[in-house]
Amino acid sequence: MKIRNRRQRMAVLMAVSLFLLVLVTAAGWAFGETASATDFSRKNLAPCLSYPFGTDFMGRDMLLRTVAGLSSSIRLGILTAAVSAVIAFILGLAAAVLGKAADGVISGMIDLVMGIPHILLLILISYACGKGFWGVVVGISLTHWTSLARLIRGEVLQLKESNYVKIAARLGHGKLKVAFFHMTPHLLPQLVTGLVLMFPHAILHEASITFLGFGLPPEEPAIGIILSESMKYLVMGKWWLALFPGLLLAGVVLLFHFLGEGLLLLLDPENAHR
Amino acid sequence: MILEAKTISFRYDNGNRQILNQVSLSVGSGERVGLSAPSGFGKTTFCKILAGYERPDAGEVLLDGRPLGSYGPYCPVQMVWQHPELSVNPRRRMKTVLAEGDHIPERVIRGLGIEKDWENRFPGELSGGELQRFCIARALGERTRFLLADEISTMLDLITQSQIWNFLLEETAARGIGLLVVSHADGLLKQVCTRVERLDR
Amino acid sequence: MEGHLLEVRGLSISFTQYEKGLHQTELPVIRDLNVTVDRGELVAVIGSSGSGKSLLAHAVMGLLPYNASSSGEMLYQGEPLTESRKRELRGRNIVLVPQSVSYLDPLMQVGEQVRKGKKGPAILEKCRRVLGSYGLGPETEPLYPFQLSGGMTRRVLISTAVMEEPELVIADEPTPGLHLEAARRVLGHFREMAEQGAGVLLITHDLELALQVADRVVVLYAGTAIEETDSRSFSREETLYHPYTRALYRAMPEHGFSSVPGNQPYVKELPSGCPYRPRCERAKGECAGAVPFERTDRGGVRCLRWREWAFGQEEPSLREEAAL
Repeated sequence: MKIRNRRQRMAVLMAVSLFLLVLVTAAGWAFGETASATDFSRKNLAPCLSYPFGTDFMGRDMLLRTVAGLSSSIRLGILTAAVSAVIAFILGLAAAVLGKAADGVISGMIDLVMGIPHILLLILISYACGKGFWGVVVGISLTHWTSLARLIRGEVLQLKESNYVKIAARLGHGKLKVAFFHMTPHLLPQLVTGLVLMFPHAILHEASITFLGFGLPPEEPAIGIILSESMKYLVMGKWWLALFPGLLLAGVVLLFHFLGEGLLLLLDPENAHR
Repeated sequence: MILEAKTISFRYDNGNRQILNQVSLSVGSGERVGLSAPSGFGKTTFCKILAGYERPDAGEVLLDGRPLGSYGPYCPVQMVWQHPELSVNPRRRMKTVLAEGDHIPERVIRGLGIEKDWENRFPGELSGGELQRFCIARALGERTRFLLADEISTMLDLITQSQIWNFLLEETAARGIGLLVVSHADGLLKQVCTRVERLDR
Repeated sequence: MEGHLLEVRGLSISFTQYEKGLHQTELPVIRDLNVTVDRGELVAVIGSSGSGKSLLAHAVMGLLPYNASSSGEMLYQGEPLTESRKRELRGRNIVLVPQSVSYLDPLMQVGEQVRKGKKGPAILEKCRRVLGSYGLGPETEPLYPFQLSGGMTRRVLISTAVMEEPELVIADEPTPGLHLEAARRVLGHFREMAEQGAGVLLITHDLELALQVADRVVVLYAGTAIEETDSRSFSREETLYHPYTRALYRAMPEHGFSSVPGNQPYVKELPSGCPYRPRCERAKGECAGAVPFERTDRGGVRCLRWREWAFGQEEPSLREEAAL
């Protein structure tokens, strides 16, 4: 296919990003078992042809472990970002449509959650939910909806002032109908891109609380675990334990970023000329 | 039917400037009343009050002696705004504009010169004159008894203006719809209206 | 000879836009447009809303958006108006009075905007004089744009433009949203500029208002000029040569308020040949071919059959054949 314009370039980039992400997720799922297989005959090997990412102190293949870790990160990211986005959408819309009292309560909640340092709240919720997979999911979901909710609330407030929404009311259409027919077409692109751009945040936060020991349990093949374990061995010159997983984590974050930016370009009609 | 505005006063929250001060006006069914007032008089605000968009600070709007609000969710007094491009949702196709109205008859849609093919377009793909035809059609639903036209043809070329007005005169006469026409163009008011009200502060 | 102050020859402007998904299309918004403006003359370009007539102003100023492309020739005082020359001249010799109030800086006081940040007693004095000549006293200088009424805003925009004593003024839709009296006053100011020797290009949709101040009128239809004529031609239908211009004349409230059916074609679906052909009762087969812009005794017209309007019912070509 010949690439003729910016949009088509973007579409190709998005397709490649999506393909790589699906590949990593599927591979991690498939090799989950082999990834945690230990073999003490091959401990602490530096990267070589058969183990491109090297092995760790228990003789686990770091390539497989990294892929498995990324895979669980991506699945967790998708789940938490989706939950956050739904919370954001419902609260944002409710704040703007339901009236002053509801708006006050929801805005207050947004300010409250935003006011507490992200990572602290995340650790508290995750810890309260008994850590582990669900602790992390609940923690990230409950902390990441605020900025998107605020964005959606602002957009809805603006839409409420538009002439066509006022006209719809005089034509006898109820608030719910107006919200659905007139507002969602404006909010959907925001929501979808907000969702995709939330993945990298969710993944990084998952990795960081796991790194700090408040997230996933040590037996899970998570990037956070890999990185925190590697800290002990870095001083012993085992650089590969941190470098490759870290780079790949950054890579995955970047791929999600491309996806989000691409969606923003394609979905927003205000970009019709770009 | 008769639409009455009784000693309406209005000022916006943010400023202390009085916009409307004890304004009264009445329009009967089948009447076409032109409204001419100096700039800054608040003609648009007056229309918005008559159509129930804003509540007056003092005075009341009555339709056959009953307040507007008692007529149910569909307001029998419909207003067509000056800027058609702001009156339709830029992200929805034009056919949804027609669907939004109260059973718009095919006669109205064709009479306004709306082409079938426009209905599948988005607002950004139509000119102001084309959009305004949709806005007028939308306001001419079954339960509409009065139509307020706030400078609806100022931005349009002369031929579109005369197309729209010639249709509106015919349609409102046939259905006994009362018309309030706000315009700065005296020639237009003279041509269109049965009487012209000049309001001063 | 120096030539016209501004001469635009065969200007075409098109936009690239994404249609659906990933495919780009070209929208020919303005096609083969000719306009000239001389010193001391007010020329009005009339087009309906959404016809892309603002692009003419932007093309002359060199302010076209990046996804627009233009072709054709522009001459200023007989010399080609290149992009670098536009940059040099604009704001000084050529000024734009923009359509939208949003061109004013909302956080800058009126006086400062008009002076463009320059200081000194001479500038202060001149600023006061210019504002004063548009009925804005010294008390308006410390105001911010949101404190101005619509009419005052236009007058501030005009003051900003004339501070530099320009040779060419381009006014892009200066009247919408104004009350008739205010609109007349604003147009009167453009007339004064022309009286004082500047060339004024007035771009508007309001034919009736434009006729009150313009020397010449260029009528656009579907992005192309279909007639250029003396404003006085509009006092009688017979002196207008294009069927569309005549239809405009008859649509005026005081000239019968009659309308012709149909609409201006969409730029994506232009008919071949004359764009007015589908609505024209006099259209013939050859109107679907090329229709050149021909000079007339009153300006120019883009119609194959204009001589019939001008010189009676007999077609000139038939007359020529008879002579042979």
